[in-house]
Amino acid sequence: MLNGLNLGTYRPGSSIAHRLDGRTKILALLGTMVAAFGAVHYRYFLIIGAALTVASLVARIDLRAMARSMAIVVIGLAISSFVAALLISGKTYHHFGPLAISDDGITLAVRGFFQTIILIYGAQVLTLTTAPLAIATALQRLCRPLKLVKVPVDELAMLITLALTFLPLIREQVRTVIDAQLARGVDLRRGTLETRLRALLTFFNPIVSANLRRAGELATAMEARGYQVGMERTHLREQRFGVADYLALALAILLPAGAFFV
Amino acid sequence: MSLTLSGVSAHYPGAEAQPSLRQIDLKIGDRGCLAVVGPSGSGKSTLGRVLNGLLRASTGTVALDGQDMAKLESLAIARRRVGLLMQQPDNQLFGVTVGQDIRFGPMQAGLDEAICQDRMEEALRRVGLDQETFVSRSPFSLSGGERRRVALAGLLAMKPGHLVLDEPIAGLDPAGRDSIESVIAQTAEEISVVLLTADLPLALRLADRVLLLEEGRVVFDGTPAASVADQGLITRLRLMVPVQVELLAGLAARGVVLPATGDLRPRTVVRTIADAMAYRGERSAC
Repeated sequence: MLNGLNLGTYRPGSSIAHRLDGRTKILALLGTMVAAFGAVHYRYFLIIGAALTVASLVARIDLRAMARSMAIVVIGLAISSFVAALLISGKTYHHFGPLAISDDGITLAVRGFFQTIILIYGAQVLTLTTAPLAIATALQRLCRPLKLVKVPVDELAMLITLALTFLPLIREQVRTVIDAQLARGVDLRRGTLETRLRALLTFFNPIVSANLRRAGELATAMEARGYQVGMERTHLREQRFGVADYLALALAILLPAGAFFV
Repeated sequence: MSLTLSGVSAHYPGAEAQPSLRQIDLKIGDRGCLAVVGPSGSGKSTLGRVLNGLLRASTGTVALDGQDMAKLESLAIARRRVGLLMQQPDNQLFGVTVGQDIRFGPMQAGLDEAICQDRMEEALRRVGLDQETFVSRSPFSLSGGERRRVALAGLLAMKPGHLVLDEPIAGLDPAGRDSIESVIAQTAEEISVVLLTADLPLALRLADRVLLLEEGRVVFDGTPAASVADQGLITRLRLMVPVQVELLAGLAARGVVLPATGDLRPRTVVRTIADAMAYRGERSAC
């Protein structure tokens, strides 16, 4: 199950999508989000879905693997959307015992479902095709104007880099802890619900403590290698916009613009 | 109790083309210490996972007391009978306190609270940790050696028939190594211990049978003394030649004749050399 979650995992490659500037891909993701949240009709979600599929193909991403990784997200979202639909009041559409589902509830739940799926899928395409350092550098450059109002852009970019670097490590840690529990005779398929929940809760202790320890060691290592807050940094590879970037940006602008008309 | 592997190959998910274990045939008895020695990537940890039931064999069978592990009602049964100490004991500790952590396995097996408590006390005693001092402490506040002993106690509390230890002394200080080694030696008198290690000197100190692994294949299976006879193989496997073996070879090259011994544990070798020197001293005095 954990093998399929690609969020935050970078897969090196040489596709056009991989070669695009990090800023282009972040702006394209923002454009996709605006399109998803601004879409007037449901059918526009299909257009966004088609655009994301094309982006995945351009990035040479295995669509089957992506579908597998999204399956658990789709199931979780479907459940939470259904619960949300029950909680939103409006003109009653159908009764489920004491609970009622409204027209407004259905509309908001369906929209929320598609918007979140698009957001997560788009973020996966971004992280699969962009190295954590490139994402951080792109964010740093895009947010540079915020320095004028004393926002610590460089430090925030470093935080994001570290967070993205840590995601696969945390996933690996979770797998190891699950294996260690299984090795000690835990059977998550048997026992009462309480027993199984208790067994699940025991995952958190070693995961949190291991990651806190790793974070402490990383901070010490960074200091030992001369990291200082507030220092101006240079880059080994300067990112520059190319023709493909301008084309991708044009498409990224067209997508949200179309949402208000289609 | 026996653990038998017949023609076992195994690979990790997504690595079907690169099996980590290839055609392993192995029979492990009910007591004694078997050391599985090999360099990094030779398949030692994979073998440990197969023995514990964490990883299924892609071909061949793993039989626990004659029963095919794949046909057991639940693999949890096999995992309780074959304890596995992982390389990183931190990942194996879950309890808020040492006591809770050691009771975890027996409680998962559905044993009574009183039995779990007895098992915890006995396991603490066996690994040499004082109950008063440690039972209420967080496992994460302990030293590396203590944490490893707690992880070992957690396994012993399950009363397994076999114990698989993956690099049990790696990264420990000399005192920590000694304490773990003495627990292993004692445990091997009661149940079978499978020691997975790249440390050949450790294998010679503890094991009564050595298995050398290379790229997932068994390239040697025999006594500790015979395992170091083929220097070419030891060099090819990038293993460290134990100092006592080098000492014996150096003495032999200088014409010092020592009584043949199949026991290469450092203490035995030192005693053999000391006896030989004393004998030569007596002869020259005569």
